[in-house]
Parts: sequence; C-alpha cells; structure tokens
Amino acid sequence: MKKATNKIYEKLLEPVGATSLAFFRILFGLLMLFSQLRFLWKGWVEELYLKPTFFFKYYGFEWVQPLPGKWMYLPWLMMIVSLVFVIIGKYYRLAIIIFFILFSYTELLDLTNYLNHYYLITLLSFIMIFLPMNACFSLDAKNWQQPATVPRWTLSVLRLQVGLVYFFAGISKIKYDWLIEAEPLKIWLGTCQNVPVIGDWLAMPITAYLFSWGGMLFDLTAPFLLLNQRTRPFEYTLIVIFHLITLWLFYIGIFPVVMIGVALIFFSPQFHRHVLEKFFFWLTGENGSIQVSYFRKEKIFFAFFGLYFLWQTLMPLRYILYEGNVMWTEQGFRYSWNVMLMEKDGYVEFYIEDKTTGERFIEYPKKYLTPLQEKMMSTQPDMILQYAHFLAQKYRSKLHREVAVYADAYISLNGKSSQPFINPKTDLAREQENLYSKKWILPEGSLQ
Amino acid sequence: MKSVQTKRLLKAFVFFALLILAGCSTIPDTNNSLFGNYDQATMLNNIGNNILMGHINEVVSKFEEADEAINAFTANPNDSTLIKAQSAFNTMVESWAFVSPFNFGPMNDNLILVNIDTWPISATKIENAISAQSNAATVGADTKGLKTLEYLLFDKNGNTAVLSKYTEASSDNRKAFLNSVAQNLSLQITDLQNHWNDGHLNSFVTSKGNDVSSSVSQLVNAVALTMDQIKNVKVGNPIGLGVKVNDNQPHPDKIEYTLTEESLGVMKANIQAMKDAFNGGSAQGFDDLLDYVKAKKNGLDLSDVINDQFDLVITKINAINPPYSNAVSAQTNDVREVFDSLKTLIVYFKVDVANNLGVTITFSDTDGD
Repeated sequence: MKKATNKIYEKLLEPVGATSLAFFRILFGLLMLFSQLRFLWKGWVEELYLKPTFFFKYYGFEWVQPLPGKWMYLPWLMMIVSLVFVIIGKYYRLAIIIFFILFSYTELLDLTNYLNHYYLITLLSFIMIFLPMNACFSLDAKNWQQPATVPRWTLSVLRLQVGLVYFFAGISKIKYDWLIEAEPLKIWLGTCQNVPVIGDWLAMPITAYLFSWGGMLFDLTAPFLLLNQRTRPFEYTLIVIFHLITLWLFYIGIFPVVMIGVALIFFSPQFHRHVLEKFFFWLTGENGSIQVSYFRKEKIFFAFFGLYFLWQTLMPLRYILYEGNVMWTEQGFRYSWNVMLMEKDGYVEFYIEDKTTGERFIEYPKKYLTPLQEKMMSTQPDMILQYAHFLAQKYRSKLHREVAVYADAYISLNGKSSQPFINPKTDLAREQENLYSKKWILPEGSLQ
Repeated sequence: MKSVQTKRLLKAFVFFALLILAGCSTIPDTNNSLFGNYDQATMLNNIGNNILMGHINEVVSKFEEADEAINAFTANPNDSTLIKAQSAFNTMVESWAFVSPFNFGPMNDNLILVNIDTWPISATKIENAISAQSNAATVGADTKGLKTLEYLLFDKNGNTAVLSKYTEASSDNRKAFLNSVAQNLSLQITDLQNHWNDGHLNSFVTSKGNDVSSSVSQLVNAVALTMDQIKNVKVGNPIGLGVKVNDNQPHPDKIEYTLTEESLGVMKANIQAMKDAFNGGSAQGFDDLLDYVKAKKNGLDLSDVINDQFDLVITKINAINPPYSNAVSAQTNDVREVFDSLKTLIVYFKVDVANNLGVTITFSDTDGD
C-alpha cells in the first residue's frame, strides 16, 4: 500500500516537458481573448451590465457592485490587455491574477449570467495562478535553462479539472428524464425537421434515445479515453464532432469551441512542442542558465490541490442532500456541470400585500428587470426570493408599513405540463436565503 | 518531426468523416408516413398565405375605404359624411385588430405597428401639429395613427361638437391634418403589404425549425407579447392591475378607445386572430404542430386545452357589458375574470408551448449553458 502511494508520489514529481503548460497558457489566452472581444463586439457589456437597474447577487457575494456607467467597460479592457500578457508570457503571474480577479468580478455581478463554461474559466484561471505556465515559449522564460521541465502534477491538475467537467456532465445525465424519456433531446430534436437532408431523422424519437445514451457514455468515458494514448486520437475526434454537432443544432455560443480547445491538454508534451515550434517559435528566447526552481515545496501544493479537488468532487454531488428533483428545485444545480440538461420554462408575477389593510398590489418582473433577467428568474427559486425581497423593500419604504410578498409562479420541465412552482401562500418577505432546503418550492407533480 | 499522434489524429478524422458520409448516403426518401401527416412547411404556408396575408389584404382595403370616406368628409363636412367617416373608421379599427397581434418581421422592423397603433396619444401635440400645418408623415407616433384619428373624428359631447370644429372659418388646417393622418395610415399598411409580397411571405414560409429566427419562434413570441399587452395594458391598466398603474382602482381613461365603443370588440378580434393563427383555420396550424410533438396538458392534448382557453377568454369578454369605461368600475369582477383567463392563456404559451417546442421566449441571444 505504502509502495503504491510512493509510486504515485514519484510519478507526480517526475519531470515532464514544460511545453504542455505553455501550450495551454497560449491556447487559453487566445480562446479568452476571442471570447472577451466577442463579448464586447456583441454589445453585451451594455446589454448585461449597463441596462439593468437591478442585479441578482451570488450567495455570499452580495457586496459585489457594478462600476458606474461606462466605467463598466474598464474590466474588459484590462482583461484584454492582461490576456495579451498571458499569451506572450510576460509578467505572466501578475497578468493571470488580474485576469482571474476581473473575470470573477464580472461574473459575480449578476447571477442571471451564470454559465457553466464561465465557471470553468474562473476555475482554470485560478489554477493557472499556481502553475509555471511561463517556463517556456514565453518572454518570461528567456533567462531559464531550456528545455525546461516541470513536475508532472502541474499538468495533472489541469487535466483533472477538464476531466471532471466531462465526468460530472456524464453523471448528471444519469437521470430518469434523460435516459428513459430521452428528454429534453426529444423536444430539441423534435423540431429539427428543417435541418437539410437528415432533419426528419433527427426528429425521430429513436435519435433522441441514441443521442441521450451516447451523450451520457461519451461524457463519462471522455477523461479516461483521453488519458489513454491509444484511444486519445479517436476520442478527440469524437469530441470535435460532438461539440460541433451541439454548436450546429443548439446555438449555444462559444462553449463548444472552449471545450474543443481545452481538451487538447490531454495530448503529449511532444505533440504540444510540435505545435508550439510550428506557430510560436518566435516566443523562444536565448537559452539562460536559471533552472525552474519554483516547485520545491510540493507538499504544500499537494495539500492545497488535494483540498481543491475534494471540493470540486463534492460540489456536483451536493444536490443529494436536498429534497426533490434537482432540475425542479435547482438546489445544488449550479457549479455541478449540469450542462444542456433540461428544457425549463417559467412565468412569474408577484403580489405585495399591505399587512395593515390586506390590499394586494400586482408586480410584474418586467418593471425592473430585463427580459433575460426575467426569463432566468422565472425558473430559479433563489432568484425569485431575491426579487421578492427587493419588492418588499420597495413597498416598505413606499407604504411605511409591513408587507408580505407572494409569488404566482408556473414552470414546465422537459415537456411536462406547467405547474405552480412556488407556494402561493408563502410570504417570501419572511423567508431567508440560506443553504437549507427551500420548503416553499412546491414539489414536482403537485397540482394545486 | 511529425508525431505519431498527429498521424493517428488525421486517420481518426478520415475514419469518422467516411462514417458520416456513409450514414448520410443511406438515408432514404423522407416523404413517408413514418413522420405522421404534419409538415411544418404546410403549416407555415397556411398561416402565412391564408391567415396573415388574408388579413393584411383585407385591412389594406379597409384603410383605403376609410381614407376615401375621410376625404369625402373634409371636402363636405356634414352629419351624413361624418357618420360615414366614423363608420369607416370603426370598420378599419376592427380589421386592423386581426393584424396587430403579429408584430414581427417588417411590422416590427419598420415600426409600422408603432406608427399605426401608439396610445395614449397627446392631444396637445395634435393641436400644435394642426396649427403648425404639419403633415402626419413628419410628426411623432403619439400624434398620428388610429388613436389620433379617433380624437379627430369623435368627441365625447357628440357629433355636433365634432362638426363645429370642421365647419368654423379656420378649419382648413384641421381638415388637412385629418386627411394626412388617414393618408399616412393607408401608406403604412400598404408598406406592410408590400414587404410581405416582396419576400417576407416567402421567408416566413421557409423559416422552419425552432431557433430564434424561425417563424415558429417569431409567432410564439409575438403572440405571447400581444397577450401580455392585452392583459396588462388593455385590461390591467383600466382596473389598476397594470405594470405601472397597479393601485387596484378603476381607470376608465386608460381604456384603448376612449371616444368610440371599440375597446371590447378590438380585444375580442385580437384574441380571435391569435386563435385563428393557432389552429390554422380549417388547415394546419400550431395545434397540429403541438399534436405532432405529442404535447400534453394534465392528460389532455395541449392543443385542445389552448383552444378551449381561447374560447374561455372570448366568453369572459362577452360577459362585459358596454360601455367598457363603465364596466371597469361597475363590473370589476367580470373584468378581473378576463384578466385571469388571459393569464392562464399566457402561461400556456410562455410555459407549456415554449417548453414543448423548445422555443425561447426572449428576443436576445445568449452565450450557451
């Protein structure tokens, strides 16, 4: 037993070419640069951060505030500059820290905009702070002895992070709706009749089942098949095809491109060197004499990343602690790689009751929210609660009396009939946001 | 140095490419009964050609007739020409009610709905435009359109009051402005007809699928938005259940047509128009699409449930006794029932229909999941 641990320990400390890290640094930098420029070009800073007057806060990050007016563009400009420094590997550590902080900041501004792949970017940029991603093919590396090597674990943590995304995306698909009902793929593919040549085939139920089971198996096995040198090229080709199909059929933005990119981390350092020498030869400087000596205190790093990955493994499973279907209640849904898992639509109106007179006033979400915010809130209980508190505050200061807030909410999940979502008798003004089960979410299947 | 991996990767790509090609080439003719009788092209063709285009053509002729009647009135303002102009106006408003619910494509892009149907209008601006001898083509949306026409053709003190404004010595400016408003309406609606004839009908019929630019998505979104408008603005505001006006008090001044008794009829026509588009008249409509994807609602066909709800909304509107301006205070509970029945219909569209068809209820695109 002890021997085995020793062996793993030695394996993790074994020197490997630093090219893999450099490759990932440049790739990540380019993908993010493209992503952030696209964000600006699409006018999303204006749309998502300047237009809204109300922002949904992340639990524990209620203190994060937007910058006033056009200053909101500043984080994007700084991110773009820092990404250029990440790519060329100049002042790398500082550049990646700035990127991590600013990217996290912009994400934390509004819960409406939560996306799994944005969360992945936050995690990857966080990990990259601690790794010698600039040991070669960078301007920082010019004084270092080349070819630079790094301990294997620095590469392993990146692979593990990417692998966990696939693995848990697979785990999350082991659900009755996904496997037995082939939903939501039946819905999504059902109207694909218009796709040239294969449209009618896509719309057949059997295709939805094939895609559902295939998708689940693909996600679950991807990390293992990528690790194995023999299966890697076939698996990677599958990844490219899989993500291109989702890009083509489901209009899900940049996510497929990011995954096609980051999955390349599983290739060998030789492969990465080959690519870098071809396209980024201009980043190699003179051969210096300093050795990469950054990683002597491996025990600290092992403990740190041990805890980090324990957290990463437990987060996606925390939904088990909550009552009910995680897709219905969304308790433990975020940060769990629940990717493209459900079709869910909702509608919500609020009533504010003057507790002194008993008079009820209707409140429509559109009064203070953008269409996207309203749409996102309509299916997510914690956002409904936040908005209810916001309304309670408004009415308290308007009426100078105690008020109660009730939600009249309906949702439909994966093609099932719409149902009341929030207990209409619960005064949401009195409910607090916390990590406990929300008793005021009506159970799936209850007809009131 | 070309690594072994690169070569393998290349081989794998070729292998999968061949596999896909092989898969595609074995796909047989798709026109068989395996997929049922429903075809989205047939549905869009029916909704586009027979229902939407039919109503647009109808409304163009009604607008022209109203324009003529108004010209006849201004040429010779008397009791009889005024009554004819007013009746042409009412017909025009009722026919427009069958077109206005579908605010997508050119109607939305070219602000045709805004120019025809903005309210409330500004009486002050209209009077200023008259004295300034402005033309409807150059004034803002709250100074022209159907509601401005109503303001110019009707008076709460009766037709004698209207006539006096067109027979007094300095009435030329008012006549000219009235004519220009009627003419501008005709131009707007002809513009819409031309856009549909010159390509939009074709693109409507061929935009299959369910993505944001598809006709199914455009229709579902437009209909859901119109229902919201009817519920929140035409019914909600007058009984104090609106977005901004939510004091639970009656607001008879907030009804759609304050001088003619058209508010209830227009509302009913709006609902009827959406119902027609939904069930496709006697041919294929949205109900067939929902049946094709086997959409259910508590064990029943969702299409039937929605059709029944459309009827229920109409029944509830019928229960309101005109004038609507009185009903909002005298029959608050009945009006509230229209409001509630509309909410149920909206939930069916925004939640059940959207869910079963995978249609996104929003006009902005996002970055993934």
